[in-house]
Amino acid sequence: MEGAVLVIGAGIAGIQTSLDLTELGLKVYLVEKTPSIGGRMAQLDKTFPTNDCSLCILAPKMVEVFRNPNIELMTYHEVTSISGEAGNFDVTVLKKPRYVDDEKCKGCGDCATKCPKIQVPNIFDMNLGKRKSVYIPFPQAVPPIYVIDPELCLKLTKGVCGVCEKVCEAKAIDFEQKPQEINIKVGAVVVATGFDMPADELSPRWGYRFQNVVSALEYERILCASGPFGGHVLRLSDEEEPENIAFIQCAGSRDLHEDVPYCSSVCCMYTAKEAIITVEHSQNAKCFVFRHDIRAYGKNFYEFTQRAQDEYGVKYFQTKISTIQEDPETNDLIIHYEDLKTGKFNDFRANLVVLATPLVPKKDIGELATILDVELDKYEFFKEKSYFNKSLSSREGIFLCGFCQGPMDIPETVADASGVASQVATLLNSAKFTQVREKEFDVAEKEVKPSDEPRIGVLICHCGINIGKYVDVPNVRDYIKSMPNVVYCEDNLYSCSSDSQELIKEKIKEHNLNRFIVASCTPRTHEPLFQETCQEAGLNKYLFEMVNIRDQCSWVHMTEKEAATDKSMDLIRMAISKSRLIKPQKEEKIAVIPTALVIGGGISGMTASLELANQGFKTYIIEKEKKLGGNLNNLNILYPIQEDASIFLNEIVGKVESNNNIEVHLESTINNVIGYIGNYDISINDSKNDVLELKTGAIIVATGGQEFKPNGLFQYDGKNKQVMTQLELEQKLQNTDKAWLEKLKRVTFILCAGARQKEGITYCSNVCCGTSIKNINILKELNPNLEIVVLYRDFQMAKKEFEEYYRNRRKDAMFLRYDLDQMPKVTNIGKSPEKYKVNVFDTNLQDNLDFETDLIVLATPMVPADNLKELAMMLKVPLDRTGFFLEAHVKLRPLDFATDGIFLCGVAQWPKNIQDSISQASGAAGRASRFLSAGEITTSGLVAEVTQSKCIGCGDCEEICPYKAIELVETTKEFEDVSIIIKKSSINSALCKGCGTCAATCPVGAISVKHYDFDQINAMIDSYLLEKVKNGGST
Amino acid sequence: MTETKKKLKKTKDFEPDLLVFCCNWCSYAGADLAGVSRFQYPPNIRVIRVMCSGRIDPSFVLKALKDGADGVLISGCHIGDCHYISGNEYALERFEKMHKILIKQLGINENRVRLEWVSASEGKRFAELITEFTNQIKELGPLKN
Amino acid sequence: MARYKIRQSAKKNVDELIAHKGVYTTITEIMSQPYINPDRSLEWVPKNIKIADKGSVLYYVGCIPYFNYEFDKIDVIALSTLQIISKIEKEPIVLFKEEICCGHDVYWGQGKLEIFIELAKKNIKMFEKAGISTIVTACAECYRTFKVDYPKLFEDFSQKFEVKHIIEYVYEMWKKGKIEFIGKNESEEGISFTYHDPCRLSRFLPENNAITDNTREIFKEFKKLGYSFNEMEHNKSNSLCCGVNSWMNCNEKSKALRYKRMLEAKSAGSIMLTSCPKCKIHLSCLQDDYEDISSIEISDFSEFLVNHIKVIDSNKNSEVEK
Ligand code: FES
Repeated sequence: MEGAVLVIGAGIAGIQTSLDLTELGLKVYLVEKTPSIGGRMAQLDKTFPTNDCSLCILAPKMVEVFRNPNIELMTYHEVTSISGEAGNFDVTVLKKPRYVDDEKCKGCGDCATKCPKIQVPNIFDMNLGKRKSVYIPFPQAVPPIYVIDPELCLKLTKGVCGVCEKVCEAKAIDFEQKPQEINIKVGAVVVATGFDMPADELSPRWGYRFQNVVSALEYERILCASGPFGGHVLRLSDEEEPENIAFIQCAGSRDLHEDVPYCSSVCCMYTAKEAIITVEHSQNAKCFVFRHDIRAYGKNFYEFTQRAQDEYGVKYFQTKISTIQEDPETNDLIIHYEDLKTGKFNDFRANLVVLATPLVPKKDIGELATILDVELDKYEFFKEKSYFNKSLSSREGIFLCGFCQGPMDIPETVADASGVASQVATLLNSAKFTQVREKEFDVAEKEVKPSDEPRIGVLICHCGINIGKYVDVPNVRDYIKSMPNVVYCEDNLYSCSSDSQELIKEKIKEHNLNRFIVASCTPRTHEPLFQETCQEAGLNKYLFEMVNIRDQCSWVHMTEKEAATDKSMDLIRMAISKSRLIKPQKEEKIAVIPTALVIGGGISGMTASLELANQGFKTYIIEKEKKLGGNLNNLNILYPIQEDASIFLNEIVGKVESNNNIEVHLESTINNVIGYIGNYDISINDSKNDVLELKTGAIIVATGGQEFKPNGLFQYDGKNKQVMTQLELEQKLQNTDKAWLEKLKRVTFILCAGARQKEGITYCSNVCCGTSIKNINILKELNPNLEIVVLYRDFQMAKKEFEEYYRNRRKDAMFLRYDLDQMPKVTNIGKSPEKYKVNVFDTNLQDNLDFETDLIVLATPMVPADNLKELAMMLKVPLDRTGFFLEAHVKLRPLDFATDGIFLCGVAQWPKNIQDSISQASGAAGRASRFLSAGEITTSGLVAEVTQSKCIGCGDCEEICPYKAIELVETTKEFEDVSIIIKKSSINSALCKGCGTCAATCPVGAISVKHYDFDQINAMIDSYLLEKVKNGGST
Repeated sequence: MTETKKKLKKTKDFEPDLLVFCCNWCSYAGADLAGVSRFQYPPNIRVIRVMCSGRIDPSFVLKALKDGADGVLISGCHIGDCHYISGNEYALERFEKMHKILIKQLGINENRVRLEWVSASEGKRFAELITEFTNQIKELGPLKN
Repeated sequence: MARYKIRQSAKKNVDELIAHKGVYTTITEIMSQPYINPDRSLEWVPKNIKIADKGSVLYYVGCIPYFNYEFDKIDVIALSTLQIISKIEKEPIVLFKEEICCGHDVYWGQGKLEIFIELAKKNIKMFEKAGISTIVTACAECYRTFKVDYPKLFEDFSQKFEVKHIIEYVYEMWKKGKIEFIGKNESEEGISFTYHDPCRLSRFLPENNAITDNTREIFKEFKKLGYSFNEMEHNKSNSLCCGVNSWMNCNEKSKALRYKRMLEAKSAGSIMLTSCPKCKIHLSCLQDDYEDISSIEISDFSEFLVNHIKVIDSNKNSEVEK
């Protein structure tokens, strides 16, 4: 069995899986077709619903991939064949010629600057921006290696030019490169190829052929500060600011004619986001959203769409679009549409139209499916093995991750990616840690004491001509050479090349250096490289400092050589002053107890437990009820697979109960939790009221949720037999006696009962629509004569399965649409059996309807489980405004808490269906098992530390620490004639992330942040301002 | 020379010493992007990189002013984007207090000490911000005036 | 003058010893620069009080407006003091918008004599320009600095300016019959209170100084108003220190000392007065830590007295005498 995994596709799905896999002890080959990793997420401007800058949160992960010794990054590669079976696959990968030597290229970009080829559209900018024929897809591309477009390059096509070869100081251009086949052996394959958004395939009525009609992804680039217009909202025909911007929803999705019958699931949200950002960017812009149903099912999603309207003045119309035409004179667009609220046909003039075009499988998905020998579904997404495990493909050992399996948003993708990693780890359990390497250094680290005289080495890089041409490097070198404590100072052409690393090592030895500084490019990408070099020479990596004289001097002051030279001198001098004060730091290893606690025994808890147990970790399930299963116990039939819930439940409960690694505690509650990641002491009260003590390394919160009981709403009081919630209906349907159904003539379903309100429960609870459709169908089958009326607001049928599910069952009921402003009224009109009159204003028909009904079913939202506050306090994790648990980051860390060691999944995080709960549960298990598998965690050297003598125990730091890494410790101390309790702050280095906020908050300066300490930063300030010499660089 | 002419000349010759604090994850990345994109800006700033804007202590700003800096700019991720969840919110809180109670009362023009958010994709904005900040300080003249 | 030398000779980086990360001493250093003209907020000055930038009586506020940075509501001391002075004086009181630090902390805490001298020069210039003859302050540290340390540097300082702590000022006015103490405490038992002598107003003053006695005399008078004054075990020049001065770092030992002080206060009364803003800050700070001492009301001398002072109408008086 191989301990390596092939991941195909390096968007956020592939990136996250790869990172998780390496932490689970598996080597990763990450194959990406394009020249850079990052995928679609790198193209986005911001992300909903927090409007986080997309690249800001993605780029660190990209760099992490780049630096990970256990990820072999194969960009501009393609998989060509695969054979073998789960555990042992042989894969052939084609390395496409970049015509640039990836070992030599330093990413300086001289080639592109000099490339004479007229500029061509840049694919990364959705063809809106321009690039040369030698290019890098975007500035933050990983790897930062250039590539030559063979179809455009004059040298490759006509044999002339070759300028790039001449200007490249690194001699990296290689026109002789040929495609190359590489064979690798892996135990599993993860497919994460994402989606396409081809607007040009839409039928002509959407008007995409007009200049001022753009797809949403094109619009993301327009909005982006690093996009083709620098973040100015301009339209293409005249590069003017558009005033009226129309966003067209479902432009092709949910449309049989366009061959995209499913809902793309993310458009409602990104449209609200794009509209909000538009308004933020340009004051004159007015945004109009031509919507269909609003499908805002995630955390804070619905509220976000409301904010777009209430706070940003975005106007939403409920419409059907017939065509979009261009006014040839102004290049404005005329939208012909039907207003579904008034039933009238109207025209709307927009200066710019943004189409929410469908998100579809990758164009070449068929070829890849053939190569992998896996099946596609009817929409041409990869087909999952079973609905409830969407990560398995039709072929064993090949896993599916992210959008290539069906629509999902970024957090769902990230959760999915962690879940896939976990399942791969389970498959390859016996081969974990066989092929990963941890960097070992043969030279022993030399001791550097604070009292030792600093001996600093400085290497200044010319970066080809990138620094050298704009900064007088020799002059800088001579100046720096003369500084106190600088023992060695040299300049060279490329400080990052491998021979330079040898040089650095040599010089450290030769001069017995105890500090080293490189002045070159940005530490964000290159610091780890130089740190490793220092370590190889026996120098603690924290004794290294980096100065960025390229991005901060040469490249931004290209016409001011003297000033750029002065600035370089200052920056290096400042680094030297800091360097004198820096200290070696230790990275501690903390042992992890290889067991886990799972709180909650519903579907999420059970799935997570099984996943952990199958990887060999003892897992304890704490369930407060008498039996496992949670809400599943109350369900009748599961949609969309129409399977009996009890069969499904019994199967999984059976697996849990028969698993030796799982210990279930029913009717149990948690008393107390102390400790931190890797080492928790948990005390529980079991069914006999005995106190049990458990020790675990990780905790997973899977407390689920419950149905909201809408007392007082629509005549519901919990007792009345004829007004019930959906769950009560399901419980009733579980009963074999269905005679009561025969007596019914008309049943009325009211959707969004108590959900998506202005106050109270403001959110969309995601699952109620689907459940209603399921129940309508069941009722109809049981009593075909039954008349069913459904009062709804929007149908939440996102994801690839549900649109069709709904479409097939639409005939079973009459659907009336109501508005929040005109709520339906229910009046009781008779006793035994109760009958009701319903009054509703149907916005589709624009008519007031009155009818009688014998049964009313209320689709109410899911709310959090009871008593979560106490639990949250014990675990020191937060709840959000709605009472669900709050994850560390809504986009990229959906399953983590900010506090390491504790994870969440399922409805505890947010209302979701069983499929998504399962996906999250495997994901949470995967996240937890990273630590459990490794058996230890390594703390960072860059943490905060309390100087005990200075601490006054005020507790301000404890309060603000985002990671709950700080605790106040009380001791009683004796002084001459009094003894008092003295509080001191104490920082757990296993939890500290080194942000330093505590140090700035501490009123007395008792907290020092390693490597960014007060004396170090103060020394830099002093050095800049007090040691300044205006010696005017070069002349 | 008339008074205004003198002042004009001063503004023209005066090269302010400006200190900029950047958080590692967004604003420093924004500065990097300005570099990679070759967006030009005046050479008067010196950047000190810290992990998070939450680390930036008002005492650093005061020290810089004491040492003779003509302006100090603190930058971090936009609110909501902080790599450490909420560091920038604390930075903002501290900054506002420092601004109102210390900087203003010391009679130091408030534009000399600023707080600005810059994201990793705002290379252009970083360059524009530095240009604008530098010009503003040139306009104000040296602190040691 | 030896004090600063002790600091200077301590070899250690003097800035290291300073609490609050040197924020307050740094602003003091900034203020010593010739080009710095503070623009202090006078928002706390009530609308009905007339203030001036020239005149004979100066209320020297000290650094209280900057303390607001971390210590809420500390400016109640300034407000009360100003209210007291302006009740008594007929002319508007001089208040400097551009007031700078007296230099006490950099001198005592860090031994930075040069900066201290710069500040002194700047201060004297400002005093002279405004034509003042009397400096009243409510800060123990400013008082000692003007009273003792400035005259050592500038011999004619005491000839030019009369320096009074608000305690002395109130005492003199009372003795001159210009004010009386009013406002009876209505509770039956009478309220017991005590007084914490700041170091700078007791043992750190020349021996002939009468402030400690003045205070006691005033407090005795309060018996009539239903307050009974009790001494703490350590008092006057034998007082226990609040543990911190000049923004030196506080630590466990100073906490223990302060805690002891608070226990003494607790057994002496329910209110503890003091007359140094820093003493007030530090003593109140400890109350957050220890429940058992949190009930004691800590109040500044001015804050306590402001509602108990009535100006005696001199015309009326002379009539009665007739
Ligand atoms: S990381 Fe940028 S502000 Fe916190």
